[in-house]
Amino acid sequence: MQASPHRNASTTENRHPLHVIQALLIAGVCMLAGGGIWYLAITGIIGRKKWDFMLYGLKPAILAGCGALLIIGTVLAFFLLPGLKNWSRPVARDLWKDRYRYSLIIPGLIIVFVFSYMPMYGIVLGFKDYKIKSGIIFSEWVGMYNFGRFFKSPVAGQVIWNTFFIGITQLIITFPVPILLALLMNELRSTGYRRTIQTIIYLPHFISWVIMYSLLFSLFSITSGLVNKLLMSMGYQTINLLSDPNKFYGMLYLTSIWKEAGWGTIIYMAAIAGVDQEMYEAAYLDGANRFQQCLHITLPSIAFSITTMLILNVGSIMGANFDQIMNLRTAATQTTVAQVIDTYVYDMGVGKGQYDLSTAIGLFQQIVNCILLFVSNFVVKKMSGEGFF
Amino acid sequence: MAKNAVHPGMKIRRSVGDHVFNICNILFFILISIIILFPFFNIFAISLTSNVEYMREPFIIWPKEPTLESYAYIFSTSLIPRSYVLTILITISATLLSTLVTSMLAYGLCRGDLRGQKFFMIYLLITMFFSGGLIPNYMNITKTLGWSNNLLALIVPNSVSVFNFIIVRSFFRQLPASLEESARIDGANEWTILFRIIYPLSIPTLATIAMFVAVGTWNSWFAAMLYMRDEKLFPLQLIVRNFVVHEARPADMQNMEGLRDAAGNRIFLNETGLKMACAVATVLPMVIIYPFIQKYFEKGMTIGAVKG
Repeated sequence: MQASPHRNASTTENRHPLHVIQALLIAGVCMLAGGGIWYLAITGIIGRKKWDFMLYGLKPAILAGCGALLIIGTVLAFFLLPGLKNWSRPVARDLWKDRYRYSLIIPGLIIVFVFSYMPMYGIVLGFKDYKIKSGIIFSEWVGMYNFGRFFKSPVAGQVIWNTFFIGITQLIITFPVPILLALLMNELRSTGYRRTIQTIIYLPHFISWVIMYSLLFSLFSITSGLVNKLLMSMGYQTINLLSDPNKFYGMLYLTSIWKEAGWGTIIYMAAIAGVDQEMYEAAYLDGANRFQQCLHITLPSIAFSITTMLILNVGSIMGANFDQIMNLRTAATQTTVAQVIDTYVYDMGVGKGQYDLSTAIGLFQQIVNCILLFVSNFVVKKMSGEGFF
Repeated sequence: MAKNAVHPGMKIRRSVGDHVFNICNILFFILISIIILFPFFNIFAISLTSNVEYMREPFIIWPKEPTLESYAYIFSTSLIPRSYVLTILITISATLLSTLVTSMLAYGLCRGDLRGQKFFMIYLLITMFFSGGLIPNYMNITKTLGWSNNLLALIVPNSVSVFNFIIVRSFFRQLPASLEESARIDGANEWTILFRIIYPLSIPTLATIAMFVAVGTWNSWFAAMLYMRDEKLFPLQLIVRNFVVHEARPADMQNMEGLRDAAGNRIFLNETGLKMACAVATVLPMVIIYPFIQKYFEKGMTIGAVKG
């Protein structure tokens, strides 16, 4: 913390009490956490709901209790002991001065705690053999068993392969489309026309994948889709787009482009709008035609946006299309080509109630995701000197 | 001539290739617009088609005798109107809550001088990379909080979005600090400053994140699928999903035998038409308000891209 008490304390004073306070606080936090972990560990080792608390649970509980008391005592001592007033007064003054600001951020912090931090405790499920009657806490520890179960299962290879294959090919195929669209849109001479086009091509971004499926269904349903009815009435073979495993990936790419490519142009249009107009004039005077202007002025000036977007997308190749796949997969595809890690976690966890297994798989995915994200952020930082986080 | 405007006094030679390119470009975008708009037109057309016509004609671009019977039926069930009201209420409350909490958080942390500032920022940013995952979240909400079949489960959990927080915070940081200083000298506390001075100045930015949340909530179905067991509590998207994607007609629409026209003949409704009527009813509010909120979205995306 940048605003440590040291800064405001007079520098000639003895600093020992503060070090003691810090050490005490750290010790308290360690005891609290240690007691919690100990308690959690021992319940899992005993592995049953009815257990002798006095025999197993008392010691960790006492440890955690002492830690809590130590923290409270240290804080009270820091603010109340007359000898420490020199150090505590500026802190207390700042806390009091900013009391309204703290009260502003408290609701948000609580919501984040309840919905983002509290679930993290559930990650221990990935290392346990979950029994409903025992609950998370009293289920038995099984170490890496769930991970082994997943990686040894025959579907694992396919699920992981699908995830990466879909993520990477979808990125490669869909990524250039918004850039091309933006470059072409930039060549539209009439502002009014361009605004209209923008309004239209952003629209699909605002509909859900549920509606997206409805639109597809109305066009490509085998029995009642317009395209198939049209083909049938003309005597052609119908297209089984929705449930043919061989066409599933094609459908993913096409729907992604249809839904998100227009929206993706926003960033590039903003970057193009920032290009200095004099550059075009100079290029024109030098005899560059529009294609050359586009290639040598517009494209280089949005190159940074392109790289940034590419890297950001690389960071999320593993789980960016859950919603899409959940709605576009059908009985014919959902256990084969359409099964990615996200959907597998859902099927195993919510569908089949295998909470422990799917927590483990989810954790594996998160770790890979995190690595991808940090690597991509690292690259951005190297490139621009400013990371995203 | 808007974009690549050359100096007014200068005469531009347009080659034939230039004109050909312009025309092709315009045609290309017209084609794209048709590809995007036609599916919407198509579901609307199907929703207006009667069963007789739907069965008789080999294919229908626009029905010869448009009928509103599919809409009349879905709005005569108790399910769709109730779900409509419910979805609107959920969207409004989620939007208000999220905008309020996120902007309060952003304002509290917008100047870097709060004790513990760095801790709070890290505390928030961690949630961008790491979460419990699907099952731990699911157990947290159903078991720990006991929010199955509770609409709070659709409103509260995602109300703090770190992405939106960053957008609002970067906007608040651009406001001159003197505004707050002078108000503080007049004896206003931070709540008063936020509500009386900062909010009126940041309506476009707040509208941007409110729109993000509203569209996200309107379009969400997954949370409802996880946490709602009772069909009475399903938002529209989930009803459409079950109906169209899973081909399971809602329990409320099972009984269609009683339908009679004025002459007492039994009416058979167009099943696909019903599905599409539900889809149209779900997407219509979005399509109607979309042109009005578009500029906020563009703005939000640009801020998010620069600062995010």
